[in-house]
Amino acid sequence: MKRWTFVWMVAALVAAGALVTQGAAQQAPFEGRLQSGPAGVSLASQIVNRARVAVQRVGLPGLDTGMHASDMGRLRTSAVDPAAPIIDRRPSPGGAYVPGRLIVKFTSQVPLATRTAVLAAHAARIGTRPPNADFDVAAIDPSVDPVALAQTLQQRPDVAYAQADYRMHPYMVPNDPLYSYQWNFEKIGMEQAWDINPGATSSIVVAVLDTGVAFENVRFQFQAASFQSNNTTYPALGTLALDFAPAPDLASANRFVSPWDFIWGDADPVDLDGHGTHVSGTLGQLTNNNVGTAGMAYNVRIMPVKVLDGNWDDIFGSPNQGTDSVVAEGIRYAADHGANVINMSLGRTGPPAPVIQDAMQYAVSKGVFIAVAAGNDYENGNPDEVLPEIAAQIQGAVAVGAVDENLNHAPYSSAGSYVELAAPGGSFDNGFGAKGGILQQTLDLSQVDTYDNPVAQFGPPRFDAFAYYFFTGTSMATPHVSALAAMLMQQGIKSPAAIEAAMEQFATDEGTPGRDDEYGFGLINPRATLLGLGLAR
Amino acid sequence: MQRWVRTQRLGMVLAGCLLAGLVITPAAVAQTSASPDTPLISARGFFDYGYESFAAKQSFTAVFGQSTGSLLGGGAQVVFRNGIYVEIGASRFKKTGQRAYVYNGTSYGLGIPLTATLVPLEVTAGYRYRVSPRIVVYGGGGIGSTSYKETSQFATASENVDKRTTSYQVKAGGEYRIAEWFGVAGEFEYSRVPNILGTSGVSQAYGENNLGGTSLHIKFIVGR
Repeated sequence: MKRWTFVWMVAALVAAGALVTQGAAQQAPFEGRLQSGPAGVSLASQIVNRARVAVQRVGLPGLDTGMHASDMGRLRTSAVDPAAPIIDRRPSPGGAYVPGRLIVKFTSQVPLATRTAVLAAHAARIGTRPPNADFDVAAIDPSVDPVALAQTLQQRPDVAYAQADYRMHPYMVPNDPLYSYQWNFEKIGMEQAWDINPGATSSIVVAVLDTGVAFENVRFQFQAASFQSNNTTYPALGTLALDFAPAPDLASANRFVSPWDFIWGDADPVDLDGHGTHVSGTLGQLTNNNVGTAGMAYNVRIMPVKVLDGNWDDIFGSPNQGTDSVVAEGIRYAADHGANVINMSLGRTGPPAPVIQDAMQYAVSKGVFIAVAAGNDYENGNPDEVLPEIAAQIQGAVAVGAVDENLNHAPYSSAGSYVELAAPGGSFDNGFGAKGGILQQTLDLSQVDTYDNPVAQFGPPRFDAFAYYFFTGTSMATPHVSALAAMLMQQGIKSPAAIEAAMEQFATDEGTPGRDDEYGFGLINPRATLLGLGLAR
Repeated sequence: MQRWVRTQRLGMVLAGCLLAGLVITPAAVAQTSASPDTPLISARGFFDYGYESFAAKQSFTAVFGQSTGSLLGGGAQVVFRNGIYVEIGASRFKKTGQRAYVYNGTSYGLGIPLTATLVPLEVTAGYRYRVSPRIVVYGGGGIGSTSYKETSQFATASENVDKRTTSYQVKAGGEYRIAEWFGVAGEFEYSRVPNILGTSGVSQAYGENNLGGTSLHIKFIVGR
């Protein structure tokens, strides 16, 4: 069984349990659910609900274990050569030309004297032919329009072509060695978009409401009780002192702002799962640092807000779980603590969630743009997704579906009238294999998900080792939209509703012409959106 | 080729106006208030400073921060003794602003430089009336050919704009003769420049399709 299929079964079980235990509540509890790959085990009731204890602030750097071979859905990386150079061979999009220059190629029989005379008749002076060139570069009066002159010369039968000498400019191609695996950025034209807006600035804060983020050095002491998974009982591990480290390719000075953990109730929203760190990587992985992968809005500050519990949170007995109320609190917290954008790669199906709708409206009213994952249930009957339905009703909040590497609707991506935009979420199916996912750095899951091992090999996890994984899901698509929103906000569009409108106006229509339920208004087009409008075009 | 055809058409209009002036002149001589020493035909040159309030106010404000701007130009006039005059003039407006996005009538500057260059080439025919030996009032109308170029940083060639369209103008003003060979004129002009704005860009968002506007001009005229 595929790992992420397993996840949904687990989530459903957990949700069902929560419904039983809290059945008297008026609003159905929100059992926070990752809209992507890893999740975990069903939990037995013997979990000891004990708060964790921070025993030491440690200063050791995280261990980067590179791209990682792992379980299904993740890449085996023997073929990876991080040192391989990235060469941009795409054609220039055109642009401003150099005044005073004109490129002319005459047909091969035209002698130099004739070429000189023809050009002289147009007040152009032929220069020394460049080496390796079969064309001439003529000097013309800088006030003369070379485009018009080229058109005139092209009328001549002895001129093969004539053109202005347009300036080339480099696309911003990150030097991160694993960038060549990040098809998602190339497919949405990020290299051209980064020319316009190189990753926003630290003036923009993006709150990542998720399983936490690997953002700090800290040592926590946990109590790991026995638990059951798939009818197997895993033994208690007792008291564990575990080190946490910031993800090396994500953390930098002053990168993180106003962290808060609504699962444990403190200011240390560390990631015990890997999902939130991966999402944060797509949003803002350090870029052009010659390390690992690139992120989209790589200069923004990140506000880690932990509203989802991972399996280890549950095993360690976190006092809270990812429910409607916790997520609503997280949204309000982010809005009240200076977030400009909120990324919510999470969701659920089931009854409405007015508490979250209120919170999202509150955040948007404070000028915060919200991106919400559309959900991964298309192949599971495509039930209505609650959070995307809310987002679709709020101008300034957007529900994001996923496309695969061919920009087709990803097979898992939930579809409905609520889908407003699409972004790369990847797919391992349809022949894409492991590389069809979205690559980012996160926790080294081989050292985190030890509960996937046979009981004999089950042991304490490590949260200070990191690796690069391909994940798929609308969770992975959503941070693309959040990052674009951050860039737009930095560039000058302060209104969440205007940001949504701009993204939808400039989206590349995919699928059925016009808005449709799979792609919404289309695939985000960062370059066009960032470029905006001229006076006449 | 299209540009050549338009230029040719403009030339024909100019020639027509000149011809009309010449034909009308003898018949009209008796009706003019021209002084006896006024020549039958006089050619004059002028330098023109204009200040225009563009009709596409919201679009210009979104991109340039204001809907007004200066034009510099010049031209030549042929003035007949009977009061008919024909003028050909060109001016140029060039300004750098920024690209923008418009949502619900509110514009958001995007910080990407955009330079717009507007060059109206106008042919105007009209009538001058001498109020006093030094003061002449006049009014006229005509046709023009206006070129508009818009270039933006990061824009591809297809995203920039280079268009020419037929424009129309009416103007009225008064001229004060400082000396026999030198005069100053103040002039009001209304111009309409269709077919450039309104189909895309900020101007489409605001529903504005006239690249012309109203302008005040000061002309320094050399000639009798």
